[in-house]
Formats: sequence, C-alpha cells, structure tokens
Amino acid sequence: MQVFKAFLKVLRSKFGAAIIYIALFFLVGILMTKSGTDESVWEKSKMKLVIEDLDDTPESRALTEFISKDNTIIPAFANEDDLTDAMYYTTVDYAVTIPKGFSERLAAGETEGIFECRHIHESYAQVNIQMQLEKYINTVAAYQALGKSTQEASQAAVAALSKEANVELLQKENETKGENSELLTFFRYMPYILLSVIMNTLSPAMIAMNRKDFRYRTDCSGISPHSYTMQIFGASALYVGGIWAVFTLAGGIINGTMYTGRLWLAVLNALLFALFSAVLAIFVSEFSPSDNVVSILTQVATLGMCFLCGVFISQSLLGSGVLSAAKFLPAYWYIRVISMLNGELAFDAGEVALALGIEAGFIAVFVLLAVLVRRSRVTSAVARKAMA
Amino acid sequence: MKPTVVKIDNLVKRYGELVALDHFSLEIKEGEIFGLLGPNGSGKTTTINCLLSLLSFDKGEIEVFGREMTPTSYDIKREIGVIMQNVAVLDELSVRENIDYFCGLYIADKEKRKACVEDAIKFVGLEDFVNFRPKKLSGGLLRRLNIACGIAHKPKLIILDEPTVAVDPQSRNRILEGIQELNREGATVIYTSHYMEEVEQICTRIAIMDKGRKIAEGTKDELKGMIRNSESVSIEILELPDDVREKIAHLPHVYETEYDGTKLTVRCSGGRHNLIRILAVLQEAELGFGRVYSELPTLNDVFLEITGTALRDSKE
Repeated sequence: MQVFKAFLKVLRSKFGAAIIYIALFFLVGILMTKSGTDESVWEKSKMKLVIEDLDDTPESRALTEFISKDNTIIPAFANEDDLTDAMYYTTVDYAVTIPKGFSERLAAGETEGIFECRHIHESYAQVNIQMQLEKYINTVAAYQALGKSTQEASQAAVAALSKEANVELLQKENETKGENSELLTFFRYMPYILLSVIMNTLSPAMIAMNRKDFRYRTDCSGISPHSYTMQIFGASALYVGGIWAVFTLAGGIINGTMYTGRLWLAVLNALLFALFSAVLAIFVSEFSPSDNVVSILTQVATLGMCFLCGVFISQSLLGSGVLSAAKFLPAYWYIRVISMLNGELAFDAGEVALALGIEAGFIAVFVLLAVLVRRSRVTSAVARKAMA
Repeated sequence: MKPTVVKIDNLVKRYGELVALDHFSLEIKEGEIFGLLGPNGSGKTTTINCLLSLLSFDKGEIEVFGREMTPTSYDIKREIGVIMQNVAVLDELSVRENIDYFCGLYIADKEKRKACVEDAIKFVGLEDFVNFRPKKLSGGLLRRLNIACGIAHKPKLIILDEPTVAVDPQSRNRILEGIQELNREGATVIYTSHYMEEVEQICTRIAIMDKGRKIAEGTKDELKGMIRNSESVSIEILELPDDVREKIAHLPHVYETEYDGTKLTVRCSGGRHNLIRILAVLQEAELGFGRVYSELPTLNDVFLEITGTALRDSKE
C-alpha cells in the first residue's frame, strides 16, 4: 500500500490550493441558501432622516407626516456640526429642511428648490427619498390643479401616496418551492466546489505520481504496474468519495435536514458529478501541465460550466442558444435533476434517470479520452526515442 | 569461482532503423563493481533499461541471479537497487518519506523498513535534512537522496546510472566512496558513466561501449594492456631541430612523436627509462626545455586507440 499512502500524502500537500475554494463555497453557499428562504418577503428600505420644519404650517406638517411613514425620523440636532458628523458616520442618511414660506410657495406653484436637502454618501436609497419628495410635490400640484386648496391638496396627496399596492409574486404552477428547497439550493452550487476542489488537487497529484522518472523508478521495484494503477485508483476513489461525503454531510448539517426520499437522488446526482470531476481531473493530468496551467484550466472549466449550465443563474433566465450548448456539459443535466427535485421543473422519474444516465455517459467518455491520450503519449514517446 | 549475478547474452535492441544495442553480451560476477563506460548515446542506459525489463528487446537473453529476467520477475527486482540518472523522487514528500516510500516498495514489514530507512539516511549523511522537501536540497544532497532511495532496502545488486552527473567534486567523492562501501558490505555494483576517471577509480572490471557495441572489457590494467601506448612523455621545448626529433623517434620503444612548436609528445610502447633516454638526447644536443611530464595511458587512450575518437570529446 506504499503507492496508496504516498498518493494520499501528495494529495494532502496539494490540498492547500483547494482551501480557499472551500471557504468561499461555504461562505457564499450558506448565504445564498439562507437568502433563498426569504424570497417572498418584501420590505421597503428605511432611511434615517432629520426633518427641520421651520414653516410649521398644516402643509409642512402634512409633508412631515408623509415622509415619516416610510422612514425613521431622527430628532433635529442642536447645531450644524453635529448634523454633519452624524451624516458622516451614517447615523443620519438625509436631512430635509422645510423653510419658512413653504406653504406660500407651494400654493404659488414655486416648487423649484422648495426644500433644502443634505446628504454625504450617494446611494440608491437617497435617490429614492428625493423621488418621494418630488412625487409628493407633484401630487399636491395635481390636486391643486383639480381645484383643491393647498391644505386639502396636501392632505389628499398624503392619503393617496400612503396607499400600498398589493404585490403578489407570481410563480408558475410547477415552480412552487419544495420542502427541502434550502438543502437543494446548497446542492445547486455543488458542481462549483466539486470541480474546483477535485481538479485543483487530483490533477497535480496525478501529474506528480505519473512523472516519467518517478514511474520508471517505481517500475524497477517489486510492484507491478497493475498494482500501482490500482493503488492510485483506490486512493483517488477514497479521496473523491471523501470530498463528496463531506459536502453531502455538510449540506445536511447546515440545513438541518435528514436525507430521505427524493433527496437521495440529489446525493446520487452529486456523486456522479464528483466522479465526473475526478475523471476530468485525470484527463487534464494526462497532458502533464504545470500547476499554474491546471489552476487556469480549473477556473475555465468551473466558471464556464457553472455560468453556462445554470449553477449560478437559473436555467429559466438563460437563452435558448446557451441552453442548447449547455446540453453538451454534464452540469446542465445535474442542474436539471436539482430543478426537478426542488419543483422548478415538474418531477419526472424518467427524466431524472435520463439526466443521471447522461452524466454517467460523460464520465465514460472522459475515461475513454484519458485512456486514448495516455496511449497516444506512450506511442509518441517511443517514436521520439526511436528518432533520437 | 564466484557466481554470476548478471548475464546478458547477444542482446539486440532496435528503435526503428537505429540499432541501440548490437549483439551486446556481458557477464558480471558477485562482488564486482562493474563499470559500463562509453560516450553519451553509446547504449549504457538502454542496457540498464533492458536489464531491468523497463524496455523490451528484439533479441538476446538476460539472466539475473541465474534466473531469466522478465517484466514480471518481481522476486528478482526486489533484490535490485536502482539509482537512475535523473533524480526520481516526489517533491511533495520529505526526505524521510521519499526514502520510506521506495523502501516500502520492497519491504512490507514496518519495523524492518524503519530501521532500513534510518540506515540509508545515515549512510548518505542526510540526518540533518530528513524533514526537508527535495526542492530545498542542493544538487549534491539531492543525488544523495536519490542514492538513499535506491539502496535503503539493502539490495544484492545495485545499478547506478550516471549518478554523479552535475554533482560538485566534494559530493562526487562522497558518492564514490559510498559505492565502494556498499560493495565492501557485499553488494554487486553496476556503474555506468561517461566519466572515465570515476570508472577507473572505483570499478574492478570495465566494459567500454560505443554505438551499442562492447568494444573492450577487462580490468583497467587489462584494458590499458590492450593498446600500444604504455607511456606518453611531454616536454615543453621551443626549438627542436629535425635531426634531434629523428634521433628521439628512433629510440627503443618509441613509436610516435608529435611536435607543435612548443611541446614535444613522445608515445612509447612498453620499456623502461623512456623519459631518461629522451632527456639524454636533448641534453646531448644542448637544447633547453621547460616542463617535462610522463603520463601513463588512460581509458580515454584505450577508447581513442580502439575507436579513433576521444571518449571525452564524443557528442551525444
């Protein structure tokens, strides 16, 4: 078992390159999984506002009432410096001063520069508050145009703008969320981590163990090439199986879910993808690239597959052309299975079996390609020797 | 009579049109340090690879320890230690882990292996570097690690294929002394090199190879005895009249003279007092001369005389 043990040691030495991916995955994966649970809850963002009403008329009070509804009002500061400090440290987002003569100017339709507004940090929310104020002024103007007095128009504007539309998030019938959606969201991102970790570690380890001089030296010993290959295979299987098991268990623990029923299909799906990642790593290693090239290839394969196949973006948002191309990648079929399990697509046992079968087919194809590349490299090495 | 450890009979290895080994035969007895000497591309490494069954061959037979050597002769391979021309270790493992890995390919018993690994570390003097990764080692230390990996399992036959390439003189001497020590401890050694000085220094018997053929075989004295040259006398001299040179050329045992305007080289075949006789001729002619030195033939002279080209000048 010397080769087996040595290979695991080599894998361990390469594992450092994968740690950053694992950390990133757990961070992003957990955040995404958790954010996926609040999809139907909508909440307006609230600003911390200071309102200084120097006019103190029914019109100005109506404006203050309107702004207060959707924002948090902070009491006015004693002096200007304190307000500036508060805005700098973002304890106050926005300051509105309603100047004296506001109601008269509003009645006269002089809305240009009718408020004094101050803020330090630009943000979407600050633009939003400006829009709210403009909307209020325009609504008052509209009611005035209908013949209402300024006071009546102000009250009518507050009443009209306070009405909230009922927003309903529409989903297709077959897009209803399943009971294990959090865990399945975790599984959705598994191709990224499986490809990143397995390719970044298994490929360099295979390259090290198959270095020509090292193989020659090992072949001189009392160990047969078959035994050598089987020990490498065994260690690879243990490693890949371990990676898959760790992430599968982590998924269950993070989401507090036991694997039951159809969830086992997600587990099988992840296992097939882990095996595909391993076979791809072995295929890449057959070309004996440097560690840097392996890293670049990993990035290309991982990000390319994840973006094209709907790992990061839902397949329903991808164009038909992209999806047609993605069908030639295993991650597409992986995501289809996940989509059927979490209810984005209607569950069809036959479709799931087909997708899993296609993933297995990808594994077989890359095993074949790896064998062909190895044979052609051995043949060309012999030819080079003959030419030397 | 000591038993034969390696017997290569009529070995032929072709790479397409190129004949790498041309009816090559060899017999190595137990306890020998056998040198395979030849320029790069002469077939030394091919011989070793065939001997280890790493390469198939077109014709011939190879026996090791009296048994036919085949790719599946794992019982024979377990008795052989191999130190390759290129350092073959894993950069990802430490010095000790590398030695343990290779030792473990031969010895399964953990305790026995541990003792062997420690012995090997001590033997090559890597005690202070056991936890270092190979990348941190100098060229000489790396070669010593390569040797430790090859000998840790205490093989009966040790094959060293150019183990001192690109090694500093100090490390080279240590390696050569180590090989002699292994031989004293009972190992039979096959040593390939294109450095004739090394081969002369440590080998008890030598085969000289060129273009896949064995061109000579014997002890270094036997090899030197095969050629005409037994002594070369060189004298730095700025003026040498033709009659004096003629007189020297006709001295007993002198078979060749060469003068390039500054140095006279006189090659002698056998005989004693050749130097005294040559100097006597120069003194008689009242000619002044500078440095004088007499050289015994080297293996390079043997190679030169047999093949017509110098061993040290041969190209890959």
